[in-house]
Amino acid sequence: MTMLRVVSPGTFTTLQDAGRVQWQHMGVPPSGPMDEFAFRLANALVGNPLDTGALELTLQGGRYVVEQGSCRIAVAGDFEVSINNEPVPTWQAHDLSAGDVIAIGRVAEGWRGYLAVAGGFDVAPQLDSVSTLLRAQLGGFAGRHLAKGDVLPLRAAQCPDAPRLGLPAGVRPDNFPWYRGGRIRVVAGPQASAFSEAVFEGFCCAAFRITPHSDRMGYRLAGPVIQHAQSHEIITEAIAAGSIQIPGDGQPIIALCDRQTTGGYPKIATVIRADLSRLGQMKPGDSVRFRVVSVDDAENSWRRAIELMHCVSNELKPL
Amino acid sequence: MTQTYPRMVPVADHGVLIEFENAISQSINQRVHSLVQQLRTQAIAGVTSLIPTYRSIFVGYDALVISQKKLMDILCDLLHLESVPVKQGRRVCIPISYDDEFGMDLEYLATYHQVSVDEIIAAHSTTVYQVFMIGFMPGFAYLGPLSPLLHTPRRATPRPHTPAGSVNIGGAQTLIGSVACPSGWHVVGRTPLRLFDVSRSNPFLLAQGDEVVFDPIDAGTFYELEKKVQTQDWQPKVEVVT
Repeated sequence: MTMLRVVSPGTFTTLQDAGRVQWQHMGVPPSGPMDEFAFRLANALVGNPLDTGALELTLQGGRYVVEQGSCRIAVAGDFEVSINNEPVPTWQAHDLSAGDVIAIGRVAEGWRGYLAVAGGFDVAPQLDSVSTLLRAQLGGFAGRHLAKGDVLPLRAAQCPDAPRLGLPAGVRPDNFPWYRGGRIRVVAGPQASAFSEAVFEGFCCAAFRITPHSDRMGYRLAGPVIQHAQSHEIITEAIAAGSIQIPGDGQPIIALCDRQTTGGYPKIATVIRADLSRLGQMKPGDSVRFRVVSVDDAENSWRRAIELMHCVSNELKPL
Repeated sequence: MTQTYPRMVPVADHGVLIEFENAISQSINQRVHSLVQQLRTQAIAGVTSLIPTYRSIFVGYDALVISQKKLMDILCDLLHLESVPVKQGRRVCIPISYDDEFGMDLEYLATYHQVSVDEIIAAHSTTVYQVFMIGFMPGFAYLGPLSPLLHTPRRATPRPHTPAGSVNIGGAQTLIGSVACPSGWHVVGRTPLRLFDVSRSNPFLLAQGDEVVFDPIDAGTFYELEKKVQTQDWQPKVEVVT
């Protein structure tokens, strides 16, 4: 069995697979990747099923040494990566053997990335997923983010025989459409009627700043106060990914992967699925503005994006 | 403008919210849970999650598999199905300490409602509650009906940290928490029980349809029970409700 030892854990590194979507009715957040496109492509680059658990990296990716065995890895994200002090490209598979050190430095564009290993990590699922939920100490490696000294067992003992893969010719991650675009697209509601038309317009015109109180659970925004027409609460109901809640203080909170599954603040709008990954690459200090689109446009955007992602993953080129 | 219920509301391009009447009541909640059971049986292709709450159901879906229009058409036909009986639950006795160190917001509530802390505790602890839904964080149980004496608007800004096992009030609802987390609710007490423990064969202590009665205990008993709960040496009293 191959083992990766954590020499330095990075800023905030957790194991995430596609998530535990099926337990939300029992109050369990789905967790999973904040950038689902990069997550799937990281897996595709090492020949994994696309929903295999991978390490989600934040800001600084960390340093890992192969303790025994060998493995194929790939980093999807705009990080500086070196193997044994030699810089190597991201979005490409690399084969490592015992003693090799992979150092993942600071992210340039964006905020997050994924380190996938061929065959995945040897972690038993909890509630059908290996995704980490810190609040409940659920999943992942001991239910927490990585720490120095952690030893991560891999399922595979050696690199696959198949050739290493990289992105198709001419495909560059900074050209991926799901990362481009100015405003974050939303569909109004489900409680748009809790706000006057003027306030809703104001919400669409405003620039908000992502505050430091932002994490995988949600992003707290600072900006103009969004006033409720009447009550600042509703009877508790489910909170979808990308829900923009407006609590009593009028400062929006966007619900994300580790969100509370239900809540009682009115939701003025909801981020469309195709733009959730772009949001997952935004960081405290970034400015965000919203633009309303129709459900049809939103669905088409998602289909186009996911089909393009599948296209890319099916046409990865052997190196 | 009057609303007709049940009705459906889009949640961006990845959900449909089915809403019943805007009130907390056992009969509405029974219809919610009956419909969720029926939707589970239907197993509509493209539906990825079903989240029942007091008076609504969130239907999560993947637009790659089914469009919202098509999903709403299917749901429309199911909305008007006859309610089916929902299985009866159990009555679970939950120990709770309302002592000062646990009931952080009792004074605030007493002042807000212009009554004594003892009256707040009496109003909260003497009701037989229904579990209307499980949500927020793993295993959190939302209970009702809450005595109108205790209805209190949620905090304008959520508190960044509320301890594990907190028993809270928000709006017309009360809930028992599992893990520590941010909360916009008012804390009245704490239970030493773990509403969520992944190492148990059933990780979730409560489910929709259960009844809850509170058993007030002092801080000393709280700490004793907490130790026993940690080693799984203590089980709450449970009766089957007929």
